[in-house]
Amino acid sequence: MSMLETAFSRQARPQQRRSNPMLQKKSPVSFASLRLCVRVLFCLIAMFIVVSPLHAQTPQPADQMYTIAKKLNCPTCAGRNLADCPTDTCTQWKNEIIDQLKQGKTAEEIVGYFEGRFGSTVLQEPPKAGFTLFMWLIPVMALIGFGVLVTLVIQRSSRTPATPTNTAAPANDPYAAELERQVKEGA
Amino acid sequence: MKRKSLLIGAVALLVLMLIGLGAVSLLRQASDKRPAAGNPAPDFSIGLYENYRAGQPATVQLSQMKGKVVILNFWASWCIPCKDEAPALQAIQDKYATQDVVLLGINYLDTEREALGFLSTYGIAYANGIDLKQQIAHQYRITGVPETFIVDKQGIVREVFIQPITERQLSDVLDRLLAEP
Repeated sequence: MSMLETAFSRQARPQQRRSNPMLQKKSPVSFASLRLCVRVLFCLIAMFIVVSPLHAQTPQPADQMYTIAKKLNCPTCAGRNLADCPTDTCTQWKNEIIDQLKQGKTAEEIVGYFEGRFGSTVLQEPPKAGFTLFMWLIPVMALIGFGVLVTLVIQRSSRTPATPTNTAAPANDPYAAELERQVKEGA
Repeated sequence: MKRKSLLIGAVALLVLMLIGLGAVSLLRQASDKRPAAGNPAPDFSIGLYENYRAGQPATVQLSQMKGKVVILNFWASWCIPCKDEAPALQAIQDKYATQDVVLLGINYLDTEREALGFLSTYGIAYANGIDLKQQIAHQYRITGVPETFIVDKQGIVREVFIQPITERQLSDVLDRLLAEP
């Protein structure tokens, strides 16, 4: 190897290392960076896991309002949920719910207030008492009735006897009667 | 045979229930008519808002107001036309304050805070109360707000306004009814 070659090769080697990462020697600094990244990631995941339930345990009045409003009807639109209704009336009612929540009232108390003031028609679920009890009972009764009907029909069809195979000779068939007589005599 | 009777009984029960529900529905529809002019005004009692009693007791009853012309005005704070007619109603209250006229605001489907805010905003001083559970609204079969019923001294409905009312309209009716014995 000539001096020129030696000089060239010495210059070339570091360049080769830089250009080819496979040939790069792993430095302790990059490993430390990787560990740091893993730790940061771990901390972020841990924060996400720990912080989320804490947030859920302290719901905001707006969230609670939405839950309560879901139990009530819009008073002016037929069949529309209070929570999803943008009318002025519903906005007022939703504000009333928030106010009562801020006063420390429970969901049951707030729903009770609306029922007491505006009647049971504002409830999404009609009360299971009085005339509205029928609304709950009719589907159940219809289901039971349908079940009884189906059971009876199935029982009836399974009890219907299969067409019996008549092995005896018909009385009005002279050929069959003669055959039967001869068989008996032969026996 | 026994099962057949059971089946017939169940079907008969279901049919009877349906007939019953239909009858109830028909009866409700039959009573769905708004009390028209010439018919007795359905009686009711109403609790008045604390600062809006206009010299009346905490709870008033329509039948106890015989001998006076009574204006029943159904309204709500979220009702835009109610805002338009509010000054006219207060003007009528001021004009007929010394005569046998009772103006009664019946607050419909409203929260108390909003209702009181409305009354304060429009400087309302006549008697006003909440129609709890919409019982009076059901009795009078209102289909919206505002609606105004004018009841004469004998407790008969004389005029029904299914629209915002003007001061002129009210004055004309009141002058006529007050002139009656």
